[in-house]
Amino acid sequence: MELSAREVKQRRIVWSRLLGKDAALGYALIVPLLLVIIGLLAYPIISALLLSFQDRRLGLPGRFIGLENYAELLFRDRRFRTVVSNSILFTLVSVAGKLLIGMGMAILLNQRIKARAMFRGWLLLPWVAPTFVTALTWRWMFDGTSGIINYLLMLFGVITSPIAWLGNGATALLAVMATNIWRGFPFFGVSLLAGMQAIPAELYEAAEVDGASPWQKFWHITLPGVRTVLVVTTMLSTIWTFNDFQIVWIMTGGGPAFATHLFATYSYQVGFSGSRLGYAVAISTILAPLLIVMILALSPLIMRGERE
Amino acid sequence: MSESGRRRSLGASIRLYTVLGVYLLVTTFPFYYMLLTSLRVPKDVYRREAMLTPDNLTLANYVTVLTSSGMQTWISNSIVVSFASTTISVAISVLAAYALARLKFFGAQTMARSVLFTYLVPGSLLFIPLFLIMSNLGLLNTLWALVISYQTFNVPFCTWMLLGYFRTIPEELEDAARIDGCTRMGVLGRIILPLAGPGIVTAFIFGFTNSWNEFLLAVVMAQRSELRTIPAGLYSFQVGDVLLWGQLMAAALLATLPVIILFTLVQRFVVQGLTVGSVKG
Repeated sequence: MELSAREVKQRRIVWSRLLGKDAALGYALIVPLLLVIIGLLAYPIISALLLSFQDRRLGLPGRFIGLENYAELLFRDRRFRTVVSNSILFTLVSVAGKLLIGMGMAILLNQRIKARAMFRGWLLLPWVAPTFVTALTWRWMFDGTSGIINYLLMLFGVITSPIAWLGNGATALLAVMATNIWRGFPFFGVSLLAGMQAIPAELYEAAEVDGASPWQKFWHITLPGVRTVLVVTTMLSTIWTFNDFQIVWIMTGGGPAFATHLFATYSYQVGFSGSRLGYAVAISTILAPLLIVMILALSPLIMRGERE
Repeated sequence: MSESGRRRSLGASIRLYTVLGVYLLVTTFPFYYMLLTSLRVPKDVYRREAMLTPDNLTLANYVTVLTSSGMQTWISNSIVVSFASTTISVAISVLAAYALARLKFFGAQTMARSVLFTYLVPGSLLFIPLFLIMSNLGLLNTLWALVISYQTFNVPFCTWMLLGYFRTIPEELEDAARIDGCTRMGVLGRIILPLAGPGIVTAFIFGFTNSWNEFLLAVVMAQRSELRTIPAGLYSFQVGDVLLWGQLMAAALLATLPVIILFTLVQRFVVQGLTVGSVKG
């Protein structure tokens, strides 16, 4: 049955009321985006979840084993316990370090300084340089025999004999954290600086009239002024730091004796050196609930910042 | 504390610039040391007495690195992969971001939110399933594995960036063009794209550097030397027993230079507000 021209037009109106007036073009333009999100993000995430219920070896079909991988991780894998405590310590110390040093950088650049833009760009270099380059360079600087860090510490009499930084557990973890902090503090610095520059100068002027000390001004004006950007930056950095791979993998490979293994490096090792893909995936999917909570808490804050 | 108020005292100035000096030193030193190491012959690299002083320098490491066929392949792979993957990402993102920023249709809000959500999903969750997908598609022995899997971080990133950029372009410009009889696609091509030029260039540069720097997927996907990009190549270079730090640092510095140059360009583009001029003019 042919539809009359009038009926066709009416149907179009109904559809456009339901879906919005630009529906046809709108959907057409987001098709490629949808394909990427479905094919390269949603599908891999779901297949990761399914894989984590399987015993899957490299090059072999999988076998369904239910929650066995998770049970092994949580109750029988002592290495995983080390990975969890390493990751928590690594993330807490690194993020705190980046936050403090970044805050210092922001306060510094928020002063009246000549050529501020140049200094801001300059201090951003560690964040701009490729992470694999940073990891290689710091591995070389922390070298146990010829590293410049040992050389400098001995030159200034801090230590008397070289330390094998990456060769023993505690110092290796310190070294990868230091590297991570060096790489990440500028991100806090420039974000917080942008937040500080949005604080109206009158607030500081009024506080000065009232005789507020620099510390009081920081505590009562600066800190509340940068609160949102501080929360967003910290949460973003926490997600990134917790999932760090490159720095640890290049500097220590997770060693010595598992002292620096994190979730991502352990997952990689189990998957590609140990060929247990199902178990490897379970190592990262076990974090998914935590990750989703963090992302859900973070997105509205970023969306709000975007609209302002 | 603030930018306002009295002039700083001399003491405060000295303190301020001392702290700034410490920041600059800590930031710059690793780069200096990288450069110094890259300019030395192997026996000088380990010479204690000459750790910091620039003497007896040579470009030999750069010559070795640049003439080695391995490094040449890795550099060209990096260029091809970064260029191809970013071009695809930016094309997808321009269309999607325009639709999400401007067109009114059911689900646009949800879609914009899910772009942000996917941007925050870390690569450590995706690399194994992506490896299996590329393996199933038979792409593991090609650079396509990287070009395609890099869309996972580049598309959400570029879409999110351009979404913000498109929103800053005044809608009146578009309305005026449509009254003059321009179609939506005409508006996108003739009004939005030229105005969004700097935004698109910025998205491209960020996407390019992200792809250029990517390590995890590069190591996972490219298992043969001739398929490696620079990060994966240099990593394989340092797995051996003897680490040739001079050559390694030379190669690392070469890999860093384009990123820093591109970044300097982006900084300018970010500051430039093209839209302001167009409304006034």
